[in-house]
Amino acid sequence: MAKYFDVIIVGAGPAGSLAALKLARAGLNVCLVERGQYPGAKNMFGGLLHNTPVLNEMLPDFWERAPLERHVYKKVLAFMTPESAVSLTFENENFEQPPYNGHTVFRPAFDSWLAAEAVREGALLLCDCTAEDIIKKDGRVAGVTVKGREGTLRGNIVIAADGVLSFMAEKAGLRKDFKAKNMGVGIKLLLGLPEATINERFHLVRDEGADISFVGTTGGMGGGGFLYTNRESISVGMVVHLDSLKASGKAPYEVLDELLQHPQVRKLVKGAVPLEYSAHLIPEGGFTAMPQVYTDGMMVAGDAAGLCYTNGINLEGINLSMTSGVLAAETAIKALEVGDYSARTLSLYKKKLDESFIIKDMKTFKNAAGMMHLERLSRTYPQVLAGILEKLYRVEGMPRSKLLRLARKEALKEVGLKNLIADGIKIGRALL
Amino acid sequence: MKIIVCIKEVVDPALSLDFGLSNRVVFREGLPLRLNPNDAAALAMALGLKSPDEAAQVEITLISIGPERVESYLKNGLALGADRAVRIWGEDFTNLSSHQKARLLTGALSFYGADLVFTGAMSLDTGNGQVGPLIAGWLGLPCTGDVVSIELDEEQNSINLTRDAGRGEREKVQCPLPTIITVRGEGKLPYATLDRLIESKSGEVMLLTPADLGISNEELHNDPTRVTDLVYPRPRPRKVPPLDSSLPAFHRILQLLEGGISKRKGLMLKGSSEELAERLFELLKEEGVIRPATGP
Amino acid sequence: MARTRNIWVLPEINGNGEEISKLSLGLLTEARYVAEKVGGTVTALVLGDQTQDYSDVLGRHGVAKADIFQDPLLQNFSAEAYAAALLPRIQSEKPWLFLMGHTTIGRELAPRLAALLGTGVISKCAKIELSEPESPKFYRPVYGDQLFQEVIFQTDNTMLVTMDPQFLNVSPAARAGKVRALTIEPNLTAESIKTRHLDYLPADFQTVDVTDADTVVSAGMGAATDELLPMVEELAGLIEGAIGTTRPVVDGGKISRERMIGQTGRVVSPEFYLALGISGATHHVGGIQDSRKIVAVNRDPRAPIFQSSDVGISADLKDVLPKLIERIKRAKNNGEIL
Ligand SMILES: Cc1cc2nc3c(=O)[nH]c(=O)nc-3n(C[C@H](O)[C@H](O)[C@H](O)COP(=O)(O)OP(=O)(O)OC[C@H]3O[C@@H](n4cnc5c(N)ncnc54)[C@H](O)[C@@H]3O)c2cc1C
Ligand SMILES: Cc1cc2nc3c(=O)[nH]c(=O)nc-3n(C[C@H](O)[C@H](O)[C@H](O)COP(=O)(O)OP(=O)(O)OC[C@H]3O[C@@H](n4cnc5c(N)ncnc54)[C@H](O)[C@@H]3O)c2cc1C
Ligand SMILES: Nc1ncnc2c1ncn2[C@@H]1O[C@H](COP(=O)(O)O)[C@@H](O)[C@H]1O
Repeated sequence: MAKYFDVIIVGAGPAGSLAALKLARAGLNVCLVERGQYPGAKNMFGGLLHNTPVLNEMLPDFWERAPLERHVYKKVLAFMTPESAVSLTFENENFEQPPYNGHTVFRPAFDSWLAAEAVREGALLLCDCTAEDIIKKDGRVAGVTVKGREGTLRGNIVIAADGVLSFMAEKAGLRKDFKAKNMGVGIKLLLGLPEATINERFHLVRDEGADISFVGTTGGMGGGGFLYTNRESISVGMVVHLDSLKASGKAPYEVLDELLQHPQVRKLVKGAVPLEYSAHLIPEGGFTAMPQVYTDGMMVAGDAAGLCYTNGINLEGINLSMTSGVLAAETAIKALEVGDYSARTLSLYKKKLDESFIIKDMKTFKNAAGMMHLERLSRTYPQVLAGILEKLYRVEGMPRSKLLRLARKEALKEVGLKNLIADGIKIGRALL
Repeated sequence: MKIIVCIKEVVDPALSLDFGLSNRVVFREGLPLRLNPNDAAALAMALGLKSPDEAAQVEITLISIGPERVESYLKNGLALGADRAVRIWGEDFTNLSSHQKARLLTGALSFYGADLVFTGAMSLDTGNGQVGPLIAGWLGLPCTGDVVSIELDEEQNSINLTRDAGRGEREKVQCPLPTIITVRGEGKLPYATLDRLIESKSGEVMLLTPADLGISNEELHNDPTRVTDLVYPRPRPRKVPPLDSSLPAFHRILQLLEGGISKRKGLMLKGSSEELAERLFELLKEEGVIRPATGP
Repeated sequence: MARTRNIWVLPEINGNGEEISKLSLGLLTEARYVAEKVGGTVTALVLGDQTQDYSDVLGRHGVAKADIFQDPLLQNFSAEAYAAALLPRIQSEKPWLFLMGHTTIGRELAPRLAALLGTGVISKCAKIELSEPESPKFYRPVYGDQLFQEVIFQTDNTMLVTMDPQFLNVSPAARAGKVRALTIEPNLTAESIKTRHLDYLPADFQTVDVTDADTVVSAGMGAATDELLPMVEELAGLIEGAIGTTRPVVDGGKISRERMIGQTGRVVSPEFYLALGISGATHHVGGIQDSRKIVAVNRDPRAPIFQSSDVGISADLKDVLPKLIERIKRAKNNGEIL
């Protein structure tokens, strides 16, 4: 077996594995290096694999073969105050058709499966191998060393797909120090619940799934909560900004506990058995906090490149990771064709990213990170909304005020006109 | 000499303690899997018998009963110097009992033949520790448990073993081959070099089914015990030292919540590191940890 | 057909054949509970080369019969010899239930007997449930005590069970009974026993169980670094202390699991407990409460461990350890200490 590779990929997450698959299909010699005992062993996320065109393209029948939990049919947006919840539910029959609008998955199962697809096409997967440093030759990245193991892995191009803390990008000098304000922390609790109970409670049939986003559940911290249904369990969690978490002086699980204690959430998780608790960092700086994504002999993909964003409602990461992985692979294929692995050739990767939906989305949501920090979004507006609806629905033998007037009154009471306008602009810019 | 090492993948209980595993839901996320530490120790011990100059004389076969996933441990074993890897699996296998595993392994032992069989003393997750002695019982072989070190005495065709006899005692025993030993220890396997790791990827793992081993379904399912349920244990009452009744109620509750951790005086020593080392030294003497020489 | 439900127990004799181990008294208690529930008698099996008379203790713990197996080859434990001695007796008497400790002896002997008898073993059992006396349920901890398996026997053969010592309680019978003793000479042949005992190495501070040690030197994350751990080991050697540790160190694979102290580890009660680089989480401190003296070294002056120690030293181990070791060595060399 080869000991010199066309491409070495560090990290068998979604970004790395899809890149490996693409390269292996092109008949190249790829080595995929993963620190876990198996791909996905220690990976976690909220649970939603969004509809991703590159995945559909590369593995058109993936929803038949991949280990998926449920396809997302029902999307709910819930604005919460301590005692009430205002929910918007969106159901669309199109979500019922392949390739579907997204699936809930478990990372250990999904990541292993995806990596195995790459291996099937000829990629070499080395698990239990933590890349430790990059090797440079003539000033260009030419391989990696592996912690505790004698020998080196050498190749023409290295793709760093090693996740949010990317030591590879750091070693290559592509990344600046992390700032807490660019980081979010995701906290999740997996709760076991019988399949029938889930179906009944969330009004689902067969393998339909629900995706609920909570706004206003973070105790005033920037961030939001989520609940996804799996086949026989539900994932409940939240993403909060690292700096606001720090400022609150709370432990992550305390924040999660508050969400679980919310009367509306409590109903949804009633009788469930806690299975696992986990926490993970998320690059949330958005477009403005992205590192440089290529250098001589190396490209950075997925979370490692800061390609993950949240607009407070959607948390997208896997789809961006996989897309960037494929774009990096395409670039590598080009570079290998011309036999030039310099930054100049690899700059094609940046260009591809810029043209893809990734960067377009990232730019669109450039201000989302700022918006997430808006305390009013997560605290005040849910209160306003709930206040309006409470007045609207409560029968008190008095004429109801007109909705809009009511809304304005409530909002003004809580927020003040100036802030209301400023926030309106901010949110509008971020989301619309 | 033919050696067989039986290895098993376990769920590492250390990592999921906080929230427990569930009996109702297939636990699929973040399942912390690893090679059973005792088995890693066994493998390390077996590999240690293979000195480079007489490599040809010691042949190591690794056997694991498990799904395809366990091939990673087998291949890693190959990368570390084992000669052959075998995986045993049947379509309908789930949660095999020690008895069933011992049946299958007995079949495999007869198939490959062995002078020396290593198993772990027990597994980290289900902790039965029956496999080695059961096989020995069926095959009429001696079996030494809780072995911590081994020396080969090839001329006499026997081995000298040191075993953990409990409470810190060790026992030395001698045993003729063929024999079975169960190994105790944490077992840190070395990392295979990258070159060997890459080579082992193309190494073959032989897959055997019960039928290949001449074991019928009936035989396999004829199991004297059966696991009927998996339940959460009732918390065991913890010993709590008497609460300090002079404290206000709130503080007594706090004390209870802390699991009755009683506070101690907490005298803090200060000084330079020389002074502190000296104070510690004196303390050790005062407490009788180190004994002053008698006499003036 | 109702069968008499006789319960057999294998008590273990401590050290030099002096007394029945505490664990075994727990086994006898368990056997008595079972016997009372299902209506059977308890038989104790005592194996050795010239066994003493234990009738007193056995009687106090509700044993009705004692089978004393005497043979020179039973001097030291050997699963082969024990199995050879017991097998004919089990085959003729057909006990309903046979309890052993989940100890070195039980772990080796029970499965061997099971193989020879064609029955099965339930090992490391924590609890026997007898609401239906004819089909007892056995509970055994798995996944680090997080869950219990409920296991049953599906055979009419003798049920072999090894009991987890940490779940046994000792409580003598209300009335001491008379023990009917029977001496059996199994006449074992040397050829039938292949394993040969050579020697016992007594416990020393390096091998001693942390729960048995007088001095424990515990290395937490702050002391288990590549740089410091060798020094901690050297210190432990010098003051003959058993090494203990905390969970993250064990999880990191630096020190073996059986040396982990705390709520999910061992509970220790040494004369002197030296906590090096340990923060003092309640999970850990819960396991050292009964130590006579606790001394902690931690560079963080606010580390909770100081709340639970008699003497606290806030200093960096990198500075203090080498000096302490140096000091002890000097004292040894100049004859100041032994
Ligand atoms: C709580 C939470 C909820 C989320 N929810 C969602 C969601 O619902 N939907 C969504 O699309 N996204 C979500 N995300 C984001 C998503 O998880 C990430 O964007 C995505 O996993 C990034 O994929 P990746 O391949 O770039 O990196 P990763 O998935 O982080 O993979 C990196 C891989 O590299 C390996 N690795 C790291 N360092 C090394 C090394 N030195 N040597 C070898 N291997 C190494 C790791 O073991 C890992 O397998 C969520 C994130 C969090 C934290
Ligand atoms: C359900 C559960 C059960 C658990 N059971 C146990 C158990 O049984 N036993 C157990 O031990 N733990 C247990 N834990 C883990 C426990 O909560 C703590 O995490 C653990 O005890 C901390 O170990 P530590 O003190 O070694 O490490 P840390 O908390 O990391 O502390 C290291 C300390 O070393 C100090 N230090 C660092 N460098 C130096 C230096 N150079 N010089 C001096 N001081 C230094 C630091 O100031 C720090 O205080 C359990 C946890 C859970 C969740
Ligand atoms: N699935 C398996 N495959 C191979 N060996 C096993 C397997 N299960 C148990 N063993 C061996 O038997 C020993 C004791 O296991 P257990 O009875 O599960 O505690 C282990 O340490 C292994 O050496």
